[in-house]
Amino acid sequence: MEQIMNRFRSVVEAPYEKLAEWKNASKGKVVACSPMHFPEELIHAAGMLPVVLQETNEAITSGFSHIHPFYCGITRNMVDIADKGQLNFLDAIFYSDICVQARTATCILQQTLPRTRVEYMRLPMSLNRPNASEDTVREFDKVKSTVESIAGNKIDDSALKQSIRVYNKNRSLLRSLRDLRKANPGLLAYRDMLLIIQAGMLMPKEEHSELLEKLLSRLKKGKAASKKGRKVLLSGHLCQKPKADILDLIEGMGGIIVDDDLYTGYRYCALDAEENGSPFQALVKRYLETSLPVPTRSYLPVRWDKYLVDKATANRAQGVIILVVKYCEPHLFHYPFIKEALAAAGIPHIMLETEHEVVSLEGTRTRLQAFMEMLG
Amino acid sequence: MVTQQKKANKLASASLIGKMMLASFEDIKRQAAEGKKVVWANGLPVYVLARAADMPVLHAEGLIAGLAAKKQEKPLQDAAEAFGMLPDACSYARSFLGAARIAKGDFKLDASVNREAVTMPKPDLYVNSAGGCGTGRVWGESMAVYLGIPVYHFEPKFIWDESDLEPSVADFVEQEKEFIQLLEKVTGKPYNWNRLKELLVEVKKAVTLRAEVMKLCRNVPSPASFFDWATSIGIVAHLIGLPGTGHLLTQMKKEVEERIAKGTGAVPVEKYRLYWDGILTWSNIGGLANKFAALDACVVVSTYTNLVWWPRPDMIDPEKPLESIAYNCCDIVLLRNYPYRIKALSELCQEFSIDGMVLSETQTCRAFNGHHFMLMDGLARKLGIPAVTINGDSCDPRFYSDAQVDTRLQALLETIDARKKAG
Repeated sequence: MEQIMNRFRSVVEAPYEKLAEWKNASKGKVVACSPMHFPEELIHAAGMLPVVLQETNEAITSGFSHIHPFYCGITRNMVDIADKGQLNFLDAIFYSDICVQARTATCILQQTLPRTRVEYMRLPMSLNRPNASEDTVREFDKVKSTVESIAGNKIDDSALKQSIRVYNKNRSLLRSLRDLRKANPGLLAYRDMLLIIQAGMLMPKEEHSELLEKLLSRLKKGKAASKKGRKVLLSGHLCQKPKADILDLIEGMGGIIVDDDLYTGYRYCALDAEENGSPFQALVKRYLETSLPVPTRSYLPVRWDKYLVDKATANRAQGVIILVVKYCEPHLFHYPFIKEALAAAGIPHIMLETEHEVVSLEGTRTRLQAFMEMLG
Repeated sequence: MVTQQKKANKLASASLIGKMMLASFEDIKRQAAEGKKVVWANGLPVYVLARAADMPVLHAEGLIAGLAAKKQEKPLQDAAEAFGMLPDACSYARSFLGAARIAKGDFKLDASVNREAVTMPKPDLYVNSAGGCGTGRVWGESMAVYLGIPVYHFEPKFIWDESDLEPSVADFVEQEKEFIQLLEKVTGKPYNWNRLKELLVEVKKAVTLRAEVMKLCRNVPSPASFFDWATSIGIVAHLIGLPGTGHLLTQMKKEVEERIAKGTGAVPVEKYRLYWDGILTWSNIGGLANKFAALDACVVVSTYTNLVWWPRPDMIDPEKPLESIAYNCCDIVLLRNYPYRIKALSELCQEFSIDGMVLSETQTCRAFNGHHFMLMDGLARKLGIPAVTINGDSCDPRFYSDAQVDTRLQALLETIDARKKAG
């Protein structure tokens, strides 16, 4: 098991270094996409390696010559590592219109990475518009053509169907992992579970699934000591990983993280694409008919505040820990409503603002301790 | 520290805009009291569509900028922060959410607050048409949920390359049709297309005239400054289509032409001609105008005033009102990629004989700041124009530092001097 975890850890700790190595060894093409909305299956079906851009822990230095400090961590980090040449090996980068900061990053990357093709995907933001489906088809079609031109080959329906199956299988395995851990939280530290999910964004899905299957079979045989503590739900971080130190703090003071709605957690593996019918339409449907609250879109069938109350109640969480990435505007506008809804439902919460730069954890520890004590 | 002896020579006609804005807020209150349904809006002026439906419209940025300029924005921001908004969020949006809380009676105002100024009638409909800014969407969604009213979100798409413009315009026209259906539902009346065409006639006259007058600032010395034109955004934004705006612009034109004839400038001595990129720090508009004047610097042109509000008067055809509005909401610089921006800014710098550039770091507006450093580099390389950034914010004075602005402006002007000496 440790060997599998070490493989995942090595991918996550030095993502771009490992991907460049993979590219050299395989002579394949690596195409990165921004988190949240991009249909990775399209890249996979074209025979290239899709990866989701990840924030690294590196201090931001030369990137400040392109971007102000009041942009969120992942945006500044991407601009910075691109400036340092760490993304030069990528064949292409696709950003989607998550927020205005992601758009800014795309424009800067296009200028700083002249040898990498940088593209921008514009999906409809109002999911209930009469032409939302037509609009999504048009944009996905445009992306498909661009992906084909990068790959140098066409994406046919059977290849896309196969890619959807590969991705669905991977998501299903990740959901099994989450279920297993939920039933027995002592089996796996939360930092490790998120690390496993994150590793899947950075390596071939087939390899990730194979390792996951082995890991799952070992975990199922394992007997972790039963864990008692205060049950908390983790929420936030729409497109980037949380700091593992914060997860350790929570668990270190007796907190049991029962579930999450993080991007590098539940969100990444929550929704499959249909395997029957047109594979292209299946990707469109998954985008438009989401059952998750998507804070960057409007006219949602599910409001985030209501979703969170329901999720906390279903998981019998005693409290909610909300991680807000500093300068993340979509989250900043949802937070007051979440705060109100949780208060109305009698569910205590704590909001922690997180930054790219590592700051002293002592203040966070004190606040979390007080919160945990309040939970009883 | 800059010694401020010389003061900005503001256009007398521009000072009338503030009065018109106040009168329009009072008019919205009156119409609401008479039972008319009220629209609150943020972003681009597509809300002119609601004016044709005889609905009074309150434009967020117009209200908040005006309050900030009079240092009356704080109660709104306090109201939003008491609700859980953090100060890193857009200060226009934060303040408008505060206005919603006050309108709903959910926030107790201090006795010292000018209640009339910050209390607006609760709306019946919200329209978000933020251009180039994803924040407008969550802002509009928050307002509608908080107020329990319907909302329409316009989404002018980002023009990654030129081929995206026409599809974006066509899609925007469809959005306008959807919005008009919503207006008919809210008002319970058929949409007044004739009134829209009449309004577009007025709009074309106003925005064409404003563009013409702003061009007169190519003159040396410049007869007006960015600070006058920033104030005049009210005419083409919140006040667009309302009576009196055409007359006011005619007065502005007359005053500008008189100044040119007399050789009078917007600053007592015009030694430096500057470009401004970013939103104005509204809470210090007067102080900034005088600061530049004291340094013999005139800000003659800007992205904010010249490339955002109705940038395509040529595309306005009152017989094609939806297309006319669509072009003017989709083809704005904030929705454009860097190659377009650098070209547009270079052209303005050359046209207005610019010596240097000031980039205003609007701390809570990430839409305006995104390309700052690339623009600085690009213009320096292309035209040899030096630039500095100064900090500030659209409506939150906590992000502004006077001493920092002084130091950076002095550095910019010294650089310009050195370059001029070097030939």
